[in-house]
Amino acid sequence: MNSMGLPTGCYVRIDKPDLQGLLDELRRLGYRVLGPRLSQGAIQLADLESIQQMPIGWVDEQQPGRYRLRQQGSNYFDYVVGPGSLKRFLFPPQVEVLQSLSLHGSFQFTAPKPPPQPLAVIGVRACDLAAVRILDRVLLEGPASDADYRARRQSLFVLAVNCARPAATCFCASMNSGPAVTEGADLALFELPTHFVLEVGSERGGEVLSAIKWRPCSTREVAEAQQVPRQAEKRLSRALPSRERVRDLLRADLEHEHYDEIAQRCLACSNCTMSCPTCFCSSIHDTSDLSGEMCTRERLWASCFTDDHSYMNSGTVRKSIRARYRQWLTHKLSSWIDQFGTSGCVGCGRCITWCPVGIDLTAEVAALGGTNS
Amino acid sequence: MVSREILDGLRFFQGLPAEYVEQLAGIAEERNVEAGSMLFREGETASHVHIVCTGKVSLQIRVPGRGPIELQTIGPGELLGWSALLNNGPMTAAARAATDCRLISLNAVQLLALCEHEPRLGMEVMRRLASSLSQRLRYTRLHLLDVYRHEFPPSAAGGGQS
Repeated sequence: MNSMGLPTGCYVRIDKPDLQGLLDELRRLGYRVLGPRLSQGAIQLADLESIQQMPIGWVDEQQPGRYRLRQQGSNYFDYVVGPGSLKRFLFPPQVEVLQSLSLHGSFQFTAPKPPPQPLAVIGVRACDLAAVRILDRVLLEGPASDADYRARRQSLFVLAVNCARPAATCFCASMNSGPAVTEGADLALFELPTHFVLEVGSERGGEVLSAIKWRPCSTREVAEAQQVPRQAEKRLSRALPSRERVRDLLRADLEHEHYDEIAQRCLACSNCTMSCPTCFCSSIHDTSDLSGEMCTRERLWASCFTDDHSYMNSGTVRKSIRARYRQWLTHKLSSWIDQFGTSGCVGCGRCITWCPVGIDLTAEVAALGGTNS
Repeated sequence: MVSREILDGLRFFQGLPAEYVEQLAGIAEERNVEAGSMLFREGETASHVHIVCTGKVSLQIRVPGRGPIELQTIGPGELLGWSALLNNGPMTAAARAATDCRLISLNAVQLLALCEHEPRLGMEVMRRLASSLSQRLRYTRLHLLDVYRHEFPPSAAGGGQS
């Protein structure tokens, strides 16, 4: 039981402008606060000092290969997910993992310092929390855990948001990952027309919340808040079949002719893997200065859509785009389950929206599930 | 949500300012329970505390080799399931409706949030909780006297220094 602060599991309401107090409290506690902001024509996570920087009244319209913003209403969180996710901050695209210095004929190695500031993220969706659980499975719970990821992950504070409207590309309900926030958040927010309701998800969340202005919720107000993600769920228009069914149907026919059709459209641009909140492939690169005395080793995001991802001593194994798409799809939805015990997909729809040619994972799986002629 | 009048009639809420009773009514639900049904079991974690409106509830614990033993009967106006308020369970006894009962149930974490927000109300709730617990302790002591009465025969107990 909490000695100070609000108990885990309780619901309270705050006035919308008082979200600023929460942001200030997190900053006071030493967090680097990230939240949604308009950036480069999309809503992305970025450093947040004021709630006025948030995309209040902006919503996104998403379709395969299409993302557009427009103004509608005055809600804070009616947008859905943008191209970025927590992956960018927990498992950054470029991280230094080692430095070596040649000194008097011998080498001196130094490991980089852990990230300086803990992160607090405002506006995380249920699908993205599910993605973090998948990344945890891969990067923390495997035989070797990633020290950099562990440091960033353990200090992470999450203010999650229950989605009030889905994008046309969302299919979280069929992946059991949304739209309601069920676990992994320190605070979970529900947006109503006149106020926010916050559910305390952790002791830390209760302590942060008790520092700002709030009011207790009546049973009716709690029920009203819980309706928000339920209404969103009813408006979801895409779905995947059950995890096991997808795994089996992909495994059953690796030579399905539909892969040829996809390969004709796929540009192997790797947008799907970059925007996917769970794709974790990376490669290691060493660079040295001109004198050859100092060398830096970096971990960089990689993609199974590139030539060198499958490069071995005999050359590139997956030479065709068809082979690369099949590798991505069957790993994500089929062999991932054998490897990690979960699907690699959370139904966020990013790979559908950000594919420049609009390849639609749900439609491709449906086609691959059809009879092979 | 129940009407304030229902709470006003119950001992647990007596003496509380009207605005507090109003707020408590906002997180309260009414429950009807048939005689014989279990309200909660020993060891379970529970999300709600209850106040008995009408009827009787029997508190029981399981004794190895003997099965459930009735400890006490709780009647109208009394608090039931206090463990949910103190440490989020587990329940220290099982509760079975001895007759048809009407209960007022309050979500424990919502009640704690209310107490946190209104410390004076919190004080009153905790005072009533403490009073309930002291009553249970008194019953427990009587039980203990009963259990140990054969070990201390009247002559020995009445002897001593006088």
